[in-house]
Amino acid sequence: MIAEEYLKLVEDIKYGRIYSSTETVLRSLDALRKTLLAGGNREAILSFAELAEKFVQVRPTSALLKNSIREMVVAVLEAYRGGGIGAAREAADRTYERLRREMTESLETSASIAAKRIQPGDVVLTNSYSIFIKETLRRAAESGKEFSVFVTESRPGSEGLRFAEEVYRMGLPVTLIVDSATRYFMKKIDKVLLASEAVAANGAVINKIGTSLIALAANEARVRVFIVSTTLKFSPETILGEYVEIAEADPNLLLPEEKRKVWGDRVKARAPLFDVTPPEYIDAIITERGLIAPQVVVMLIRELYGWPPHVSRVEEEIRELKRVARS
Amino acid sequence: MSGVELPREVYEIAEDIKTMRIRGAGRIARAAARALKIAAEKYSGPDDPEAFVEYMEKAAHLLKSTRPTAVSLPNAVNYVMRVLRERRFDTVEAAIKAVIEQAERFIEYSMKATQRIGEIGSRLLQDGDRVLTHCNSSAALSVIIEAWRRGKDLEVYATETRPKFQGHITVTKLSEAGLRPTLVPDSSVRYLMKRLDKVVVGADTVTANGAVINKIGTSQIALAAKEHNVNFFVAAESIKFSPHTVIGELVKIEERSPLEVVQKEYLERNPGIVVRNPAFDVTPPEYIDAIITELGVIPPQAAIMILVEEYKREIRDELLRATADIED
Repeated sequence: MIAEEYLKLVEDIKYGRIYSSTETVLRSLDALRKTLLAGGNREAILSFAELAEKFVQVRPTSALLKNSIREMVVAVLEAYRGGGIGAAREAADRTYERLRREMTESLETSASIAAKRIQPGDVVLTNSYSIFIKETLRRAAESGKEFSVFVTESRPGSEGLRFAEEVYRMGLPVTLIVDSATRYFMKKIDKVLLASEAVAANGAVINKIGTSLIALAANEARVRVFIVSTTLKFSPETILGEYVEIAEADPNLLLPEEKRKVWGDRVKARAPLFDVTPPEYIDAIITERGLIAPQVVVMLIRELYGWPPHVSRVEEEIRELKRVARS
Repeated sequence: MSGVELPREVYEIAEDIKTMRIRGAGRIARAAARALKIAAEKYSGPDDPEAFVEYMEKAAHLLKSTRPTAVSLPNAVNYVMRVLRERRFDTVEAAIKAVIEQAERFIEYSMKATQRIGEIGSRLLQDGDRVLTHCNSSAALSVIIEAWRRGKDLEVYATETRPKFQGHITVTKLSEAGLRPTLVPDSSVRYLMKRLDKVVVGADTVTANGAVINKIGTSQIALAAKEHNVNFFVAAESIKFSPHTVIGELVKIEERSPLEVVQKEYLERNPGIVVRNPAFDVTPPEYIDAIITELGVIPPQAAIMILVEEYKREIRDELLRATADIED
C-alpha cells in the first residue's frame, strides 16, 4: 500500500505545484525510503517499486528525478538480493543521504561559480522559481555586489511572484514583469540567468515554459544567457536518442470556473509545463564541475557514465525489482 | 478657452477610454467620434460659430489626452474636426450639422474598414491552417472569422494576454462564430510556434517606418515566428497609421498600474518590489510579412505610402509645426 500522502505528492508533482525540481526530488526520495518501512517485506518492496514508477511517469522531463530514482532503485535492488528487506532499507537511507548531500554540494558549488558571473551594476533577468538561481543571487548579494533583478511572473503557475518576494527579502532591488514584457525589457538586461529541469546530450536545456522565448529574445539583443545547473540534471538517456517528453499542466489553470460555464467544451486550453532551449541560445551551462559551453555537455556525460554510456533504463530496473520481490 | 461646459457624456466616454472600459483601437476611435457628435448635438453655448469651434476643440483635446499610445484616437478626432478646421461656418447650426455628419461618416467608414480587412485578409489564410492570435483585435478576428465563414477549416490558438486576459474575449468571440479555439499562456508561444502556420494580430499604431505598436508581447511572438519561418500578419485600419511619426516623433509607450499584474496585498507585503507594466511593445518591420488594411495588403515598408495618401493635411501640419519649432 502506498500511503495517501505520497499519492497526493505524486498529484502535486504532476501539476507542477512544487516549484523547485530539487525539492520535488528530495521529497520523492524521502517518500520512497519511508514506503520501504511499511507493511510486510514483500509488500513494502512492491509498494516502493510502484511509487518509484509513479514518480518517473508523472514527471518524465526531470532528469534529476529519473537519475536519482534510478540510483535509489538499483541500490535497493542489489541490497534486497543480497540481504533482504533490512539491507534494502539501509541502502535506501544511505542512498537518500548521499543524493541529498550531492545535491546540496552541487547546488552550493554551482551557485558560487555562477555568482562570480554577476558584476556590480548588472541587471539580471530570470523566470519562474529555482533554488539554483536563488542561491546564486544570495551569494552574489552577500559578496557585497550591487545589482538588480527582473523576474517574469511565469504563467500559468505564477511562480515568479513567490521568487520575486524571496529575492526582495534578500535585500535586492526586484522588478516584476509579465511574461509578455520580456523582449520589451531585454535592452536593459545585462545577463539572463536560468535554471534547468534537464540538460540533453546536445546541450539543449529543458526548463519551465517560457525559458526558450527568453533565451531567444536575449540572443536577439545579444544578452548573455547562463544556465545554473548540476551534472545530476544531465540526461544520459538522450545520448541514446531518447526524446524528452514535455508534460502539460492542468488546462483548467487557464480556464476560470465562471468562464468554463460559458465556454463549455468550445474553448480548450493547453499549458505545457516546459520547453526546450536550443544550445545556440545558451552561452554557458554552469555546474558543480565548472562553467562549460553547452556543446561540451556530451563530454561530461562521457565522464560520468562512460563511453558509450552505460545507462540502464529506470523503468527496467523497477520491473526487475518487482520480479525479484514476487519470486 | 470657451467657458461652455462639455456635456457629461463626453467626460464619461473619455473616462471609459482612459480606464480601458472601451478598448481596441477601432472601438476607441469610434467612441471618440461619437463623443464629438454628442458634444455638437448638446452644444448650449452662444450662437457664435467661433465659440462653437473653441468648444469643440476643447472636447477634441480632452479626448486626445486619454490614451497616449493609441493613434486611432487623434486620427479619429482630427478626421471629425477637419470640417471645422477647413471650412468657415456662418451659423452654429450649420457647423453642428457638419460635425454630426462627419462623425457619422467616420463611424460608418471605420465599421466597414474592419469588415473589408476581413474580406481581404481572409484570402491570406488557407484551409487547414493553424493560426495564433494575441490579445483581442477586431481587425484580426475579422480576418480569422471571415476565412472560417468562407469554409476554411482553421485551428486557432489565442494567448491569454496578461495582465488583463483579453484572450478570454477573443476565445469567446471565436467560439460564438463557431470555431473551437485553444487558449495558451503567453510564455508558451515559442513552444507552440513549430506547430503553427500563421500569426494574425492587430495593431495599436503603425509608424512611418512600418513598425507596429501593439499589445505587450506582440514583438516576441513576431520574433519567434520569424525564427520558425511562420508568416506574421498585422491587421490594421488606415486610421492606425501615425502621421506624427513622419516627423520622427517617437511613440510613447504607456505604463499601466501594477494592480493589473498583482494583488494589492502582494504590493503591501512587498512594498519595495517594482512592478512594471508596459501596455505595448514595438515590432520592427523586418518581422512583419504584411499589413492588412482596408485599402489592401501592403508590405510594412510601404506604411509611408498609406500615410502620404491618407494624411496629407496632418503630415503638412506636423511638418509646419516641426519647422516652426526649429525656427524658434
